[in-house]
Amino acid sequence: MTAAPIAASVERDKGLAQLRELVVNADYPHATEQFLRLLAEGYAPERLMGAAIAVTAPFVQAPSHIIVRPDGTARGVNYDHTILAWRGSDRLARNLPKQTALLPLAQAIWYTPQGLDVWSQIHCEFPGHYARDQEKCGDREEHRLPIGNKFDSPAWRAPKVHFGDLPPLRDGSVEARLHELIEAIMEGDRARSYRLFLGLAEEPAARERLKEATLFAGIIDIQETVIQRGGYQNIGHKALRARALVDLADTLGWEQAHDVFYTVVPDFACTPRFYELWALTTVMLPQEFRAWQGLKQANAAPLSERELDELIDTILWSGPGEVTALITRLLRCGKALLAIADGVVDAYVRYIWEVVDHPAAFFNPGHSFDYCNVVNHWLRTYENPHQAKALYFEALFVNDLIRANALFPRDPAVEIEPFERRLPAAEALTPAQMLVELDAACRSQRDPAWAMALVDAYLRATDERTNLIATLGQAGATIQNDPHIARLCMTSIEEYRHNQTSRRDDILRAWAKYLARAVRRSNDTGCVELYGRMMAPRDT
Amino acid sequence: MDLYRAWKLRNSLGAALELALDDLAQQLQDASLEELIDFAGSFSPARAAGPEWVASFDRFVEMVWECVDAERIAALEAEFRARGPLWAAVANSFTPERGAALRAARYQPRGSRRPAVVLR
Repeated sequence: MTAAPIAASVERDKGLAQLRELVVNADYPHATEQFLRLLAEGYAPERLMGAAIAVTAPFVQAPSHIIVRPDGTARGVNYDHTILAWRGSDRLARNLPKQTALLPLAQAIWYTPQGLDVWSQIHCEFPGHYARDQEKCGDREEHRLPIGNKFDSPAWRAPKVHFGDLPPLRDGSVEARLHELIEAIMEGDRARSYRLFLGLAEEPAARERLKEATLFAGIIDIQETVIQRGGYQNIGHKALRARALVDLADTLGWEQAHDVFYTVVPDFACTPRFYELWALTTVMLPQEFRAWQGLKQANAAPLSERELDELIDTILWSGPGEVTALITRLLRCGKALLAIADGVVDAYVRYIWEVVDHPAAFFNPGHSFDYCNVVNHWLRTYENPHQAKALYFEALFVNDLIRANALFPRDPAVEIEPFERRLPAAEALTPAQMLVELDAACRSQRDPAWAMALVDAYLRATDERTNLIATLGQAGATIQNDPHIARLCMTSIEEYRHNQTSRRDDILRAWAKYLARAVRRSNDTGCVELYGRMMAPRDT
Repeated sequence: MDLYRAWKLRNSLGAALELALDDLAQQLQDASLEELIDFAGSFSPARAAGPEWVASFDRFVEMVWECVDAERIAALEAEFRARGPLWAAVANSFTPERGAALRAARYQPRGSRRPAVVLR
């Protein structure tokens, strides 16, 4: 495999070269326009997506995810979200009707130029989402303009390359290099881990093992708690990035995925790394189980409804010690790993559906849901003797974010009206009318109780789910500047399709409530409007 | 299973809880504004003993509306309102509208001596 073949083809193609200039200049509206124009001209979505990732790969690394200030205090540095946008959008697009199927990709390219060089954005040295919305650089005295915001668009300088590309390492057996890869990541050796990965990625015979190892590396790096930790947390991003790599490489083809690797892999070994839960389970499991490596094969029992209730109740209302003890007890009783994993998802959705009201309280738990999806995908797809440990990671992560939210008193001013009051009105509609109303309620966020009543009434009125999923996916695809949304949509769809418990419909309930209530990075609709202008005539 | 014993234990705990709430009501009536502000501040992420402590905040608010005079409650609201948006949940718990809603929702079982106790 030659290094960065797509990057070279971008330079040769006039349309792609124009797209490159617009993206690097952080000119997101015109980049989106150019992207849609090329789509309309017949460029394959995968080619455009690969080109966009190739353009941005050098500019999405951070030297560290911690900035140490001159006074010795530290703050966190956000993880790159461009690759998460592409993965979520690509997957979501496959679940939407034809007329809106490309809207998620438009949202991804709308976001991508705003997500470059996060390190510089945080220092107010480059425009984009973090500089404009999070740091509010444009409000600072030294950057204030009479009209407009220089941190919106376009850029006044090039984004920085914080980690240069490197050649692959090819020496040694696959087995030895896979071991070294994990070791290098855990030790924080970015260059060596990246070079080892590139060498392994060249070998088709090693591909499935490399995918498994990549997910494993991301999953085991998870903080013990976010409570009062400031920037010393990753809220699951290492795992989320690993899943993005695997999916996008499969979509683009591994021979064409160098820039996906360049985007994702060096960050695995970036500072900080968290192995407290890995350490906990590494010590604890051998103490509890003589054959802990074989639990996945040995345990086959489902959870009873009562056990499911106990798991949900413990994750929602108890502390980490109780959660750990319960997972161990369930494993000792022969419960299947995937049955417990489904129960953890059920706990998250119960929390979203029944407990959360404040729009700001959805965001972090949403990350734990996406992390559960990566873990569960890994459990469902691959084999690894350490997989039982991941049940503790996901259950403790969900529990921790619930506890972190619970440290804030409930605000009576933002309570949602009990949705049951609205049920009679929802039940008076036909299922088709319910979907129309649900779409509007999720998009506008004006009436979350109405959205909850509608989704609840729909799920009880009919067994139909495909149109409901398409409706929620479409509503999610209209939300701009926020790669979390496409990811949440895909997590909801995947976990719904795989969940084996009696509570699986609750995943769709929680998804609807999230869309209708959770705080958004933007309520603007510029991307949807542009998509409508440029793509609608083509689709009709 | 000894249902009689379990029910006796339930009634004893109820009686003990009523005594505790009587004592708490007296403490709230006697507390200075500064003491009330300090105590309400203990339901913040930085000072709370944990989520379980913060989970009891709603019950504290109910007790305040039952035992504390309107003037001191208004002062509580003003204090936390002035601290900014991070304290909105606390300030919003002491608005007159919130007090009216809580009083209207207070559940007094028919024929009982007191309103029902809700722990969470």
